[in-house]
Amino acid sequence: MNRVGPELDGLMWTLAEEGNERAIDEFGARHPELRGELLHRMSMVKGLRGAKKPQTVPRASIPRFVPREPKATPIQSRGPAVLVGGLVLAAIAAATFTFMTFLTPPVRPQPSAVNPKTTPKQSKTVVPVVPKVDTSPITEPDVVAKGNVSEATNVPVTLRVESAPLFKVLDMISLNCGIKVVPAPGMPNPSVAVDFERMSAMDMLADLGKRYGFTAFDQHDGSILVVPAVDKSGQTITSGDQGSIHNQKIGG
Amino acid sequence: MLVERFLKGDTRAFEDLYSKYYEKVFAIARGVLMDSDEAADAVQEIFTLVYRHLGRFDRRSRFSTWLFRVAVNRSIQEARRTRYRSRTVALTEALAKAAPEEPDTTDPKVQATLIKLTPADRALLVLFYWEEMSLQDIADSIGCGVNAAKTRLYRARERFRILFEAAQ
Repeated sequence: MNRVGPELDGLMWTLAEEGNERAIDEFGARHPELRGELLHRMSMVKGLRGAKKPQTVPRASIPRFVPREPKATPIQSRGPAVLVGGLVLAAIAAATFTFMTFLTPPVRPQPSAVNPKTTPKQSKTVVPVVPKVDTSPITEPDVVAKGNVSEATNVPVTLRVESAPLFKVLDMISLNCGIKVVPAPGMPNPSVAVDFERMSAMDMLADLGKRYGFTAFDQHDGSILVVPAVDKSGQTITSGDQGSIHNQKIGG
Repeated sequence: MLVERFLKGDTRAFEDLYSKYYEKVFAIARGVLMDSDEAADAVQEIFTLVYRHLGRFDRRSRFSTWLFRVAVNRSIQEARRTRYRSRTVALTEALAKAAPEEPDTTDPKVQATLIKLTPADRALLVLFYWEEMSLQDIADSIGCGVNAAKTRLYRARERFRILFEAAQ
């Protein structure tokens, strides 16, 4: 029952340990309500001190000292068990991996968005002028994984062309950004001029699309399909989306 | 002197050290382990450690302080290792084992309460009440400052008091 303040508590322990009778009497006179508690502590301290047994080993019978081999620590003594446990866990992990690999169906390759038979015919009248190109890619195109267009299209590239056919410019974007830009059949191939300063492929395609009327679609297979915004019948595909980037899948 | 002699290659000096401090180290080990047989075993372990690592004693403190520090730590370590086993032993059995070679004149309630304490708490009470070491020596023996030793001793004593009163 420790209901006394810390100062009185400490004082009582000191009195109980020192056993000064005069000081104990004075304390009892000043704090009669704590006299019982003090006596209780005194008996406890006496009991604690008395718990020490008298010398149990006579000097003559002190065992001779012979240095022992150091005892194994708990970790060392459990070493073999830990090793076996680790091996069992590794075996379970390997078996689980093999089982899951066996269960998982093989990944089917994504069908190509562009039918090879519909590859646009190369115009014989293009490339009248050798374009003056200033390209300075921030990262090497080869570094970018070809299957991941979204990463590749975020790489900022500087591209300046005074005059060149659109397809040539698209090729330059492909080359510099490490992606594959595929013009859809029927895409016009006008002469274009570009001046892009540290722009991503998708931003460049969006800008070109606004100016020359086409839309770029991420095919999610490492290629971007460029389709004319207005088809031959004169109908706009989505007039509100002209020049915007679509992440929807075309064909397949 | 004995330490110097041993470090210079006099193996008899270590035997003298062993004889000189055996009783004290045994008392500490017995107080922490609450078992004479285990204490005797622990003393051999403690002196083996000292024998092998006496070169690490940096002489900034007294040899006895360093030795008691090894004794306290090793005894606590040993007590923790055997604590689970000890818990399964009936209290009466444990008390009988504590001093089989002599009639027990100590208060069995005190012994029972000491057994319920943690080895670290027992070590503090043993150093203070049995070995009557100063707070400074206790602090050196358990590797902390004087104030920390005082606080730990106070807490150990409080835990003893609570258990002791609960046993009444």
